Amino acid sequence: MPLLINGKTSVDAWVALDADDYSADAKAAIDHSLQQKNATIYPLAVYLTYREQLSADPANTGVLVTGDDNLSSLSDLLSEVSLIAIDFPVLRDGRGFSIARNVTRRGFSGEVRAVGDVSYDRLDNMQRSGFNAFQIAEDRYTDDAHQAFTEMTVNYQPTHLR
Amino acid sequence: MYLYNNDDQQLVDERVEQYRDQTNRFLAGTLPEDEFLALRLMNGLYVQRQAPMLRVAIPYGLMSSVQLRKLAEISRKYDRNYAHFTTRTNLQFNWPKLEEVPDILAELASVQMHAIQTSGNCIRNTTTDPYSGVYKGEVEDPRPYCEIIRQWSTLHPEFAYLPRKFKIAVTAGPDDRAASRVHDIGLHLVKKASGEVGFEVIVGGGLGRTPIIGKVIKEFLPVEHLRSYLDAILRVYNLNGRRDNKYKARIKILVKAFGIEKMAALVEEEWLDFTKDSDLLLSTAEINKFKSYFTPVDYDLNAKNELDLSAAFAKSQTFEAWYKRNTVEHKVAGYRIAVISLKPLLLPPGDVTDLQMDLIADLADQYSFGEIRSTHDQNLVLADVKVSQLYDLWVALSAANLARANIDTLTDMICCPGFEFCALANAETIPIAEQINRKFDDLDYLYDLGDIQLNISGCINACGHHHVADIGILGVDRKGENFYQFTLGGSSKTDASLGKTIGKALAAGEVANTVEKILHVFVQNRVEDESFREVIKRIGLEPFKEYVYATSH
Ligand code: SF4
Repeated sequence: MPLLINGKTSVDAWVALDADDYSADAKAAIDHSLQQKNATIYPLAVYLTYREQLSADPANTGVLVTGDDNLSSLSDLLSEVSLIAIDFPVLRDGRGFSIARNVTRRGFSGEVRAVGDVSYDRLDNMQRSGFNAFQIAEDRYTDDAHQAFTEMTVNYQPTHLR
Repeated sequence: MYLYNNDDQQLVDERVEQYRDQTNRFLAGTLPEDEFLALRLMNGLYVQRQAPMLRVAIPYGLMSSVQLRKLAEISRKYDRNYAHFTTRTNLQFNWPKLEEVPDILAELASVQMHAIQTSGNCIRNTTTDPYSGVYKGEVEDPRPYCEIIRQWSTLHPEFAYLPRKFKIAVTAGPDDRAASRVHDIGLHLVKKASGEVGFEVIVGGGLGRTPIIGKVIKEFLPVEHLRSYLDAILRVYNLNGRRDNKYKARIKILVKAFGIEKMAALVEEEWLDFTKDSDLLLSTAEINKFKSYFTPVDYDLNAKNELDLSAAFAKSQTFEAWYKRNTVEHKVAGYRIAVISLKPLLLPPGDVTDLQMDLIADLADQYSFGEIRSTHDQNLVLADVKVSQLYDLWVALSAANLARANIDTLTDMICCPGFEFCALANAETIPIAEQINRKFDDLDYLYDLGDIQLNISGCINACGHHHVADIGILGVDRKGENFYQFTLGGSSKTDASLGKTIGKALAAGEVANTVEKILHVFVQNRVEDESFREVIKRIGLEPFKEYVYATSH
């Protein structure tokens, strides 16, 4: 899936925890994932369950957050991860904008990645809410995606820029 | 009034081009319909029963003569020579072409107007008291704060996809002419004994399926914290409001679920931890800059020497009636606030033709410093008219069918567009308004009744605010036929309350007769000059129920 980081098309250095492996044997899946030493994104609830093990390597650890997660737990693990992926389950669900805002204003400086229903017309809003990476579905991606960030050059919310 | 600087202008210009591109991509098939839907709604474009409908923002109901003339021109060029004022003090065009909307937006931008956030699940146009800045009893002019809210909320990146639409109203003081208690947020300007000015903040009011009167979330918010506190409320709502059911997604449901104490605590925490002393804090210099756009106009100090209208009254009783009903005391001696009734006999409430708009713009230039206001009741206001010029103004308005002396009477109804123009409607509303107008065309009778608010909605969404009227009428569909349910005893004013249903819905043909019966009970029970509201409070609904539903009279 195309990935834009800071306005440029980028190669995804991260893998997601394999959901099937995890549901078959959670502990084995976590151990396996740690052995691989890949930069891995864990669902927030999984991360919280295995926090002791997973928090040892912040550089290679990320979490995937949805609007239904317990968001207060997110704020105190910001130093343990270097990527936060925030899910937009459907177009109408705008919770992700505020989640991104919440983590960046608490000083998180790693990658804040928008995943799920991510497309051209909302990229600028996302960036201005704190996202710096955007995973766009293949069929919604076009090469002019970076132009989304320059359509509007003025705004009334300067404080929202990272 | 507020004037755009280069940045404001650039913002609306760029927004026009952005929207043009979105429209083009939709027409070319590269932007999926459901995505375009969300985007066009955020720019005021609905697709209705017969045609698209474009809603233009009139920020806090204030416009210049230049802007009104442009709206008239647009209605001629792109529509059918008329437009409609809404209870959000916005203006709707009922027949634009989807492909032409970007051009209309460009025309609007040329006079510092736009359609941004006039629909969709975002922060809508802020409304306020139509007598702002000229009314004697106000604490302060609320418009500088409305403009601050407008800028903060315009294209806010974080709050464009809220659980549901979000409406804010601001009052100038204790008198509520903005229905603030049935808004998502109501802000009341208040002054402490020390002289410090701030806001009483109300949250979680609303109409629709679940009408609720808002509750106080903060008793006193210093003005400099306006933006930071709103930002905190919106974030709590955006993260916690329900997203699984659009009928339960408004902030009123969240406030009800949490209880006002928990809601207040969450907002307070967000505010104290993050937003209160952030860049959202308003400096005195910043507030003063906004105030500088709304300083009093250049009043003629000699106007107070020409107050005698007895000669004009002798000339025309109709003028005298208009003066009494349609003009309001002004804080500057020698001036009056004049209300232009958009409720003529037998025409849809809130509608204006292109020629009427042109005329009103001219009259505003001639008599009222070139400014016009739109009201929550779907009328217009010229706020600064010299007493000595009222007669000439009245003559000009009369000639254009704009001087019906019915402000705050039974026929000054709020009425939603209903079946003819709204895809969601269950029933007709405009023919019902007409039926009532035909029955009660005797103005002297209406004057005797005093202030009565009658509101009509074509479905449970309640855009006609029927819950907060003395007499509320709701259209319902019964097996393909229109029936109407009556509620009595509602108010959107300072003592806001929700009306109560008096019984089963009645056939369309019975509506005006039922209003007559209700008024009969009122008149029979009225002591001296009691208002309808006072009588209801004193005697309750029973006598009305009995009389309306009695088998014969
Ligand atoms: S109340 Fe119903 S019919 Fe009337 S405008 Fe609103 S949605 Fe349409």
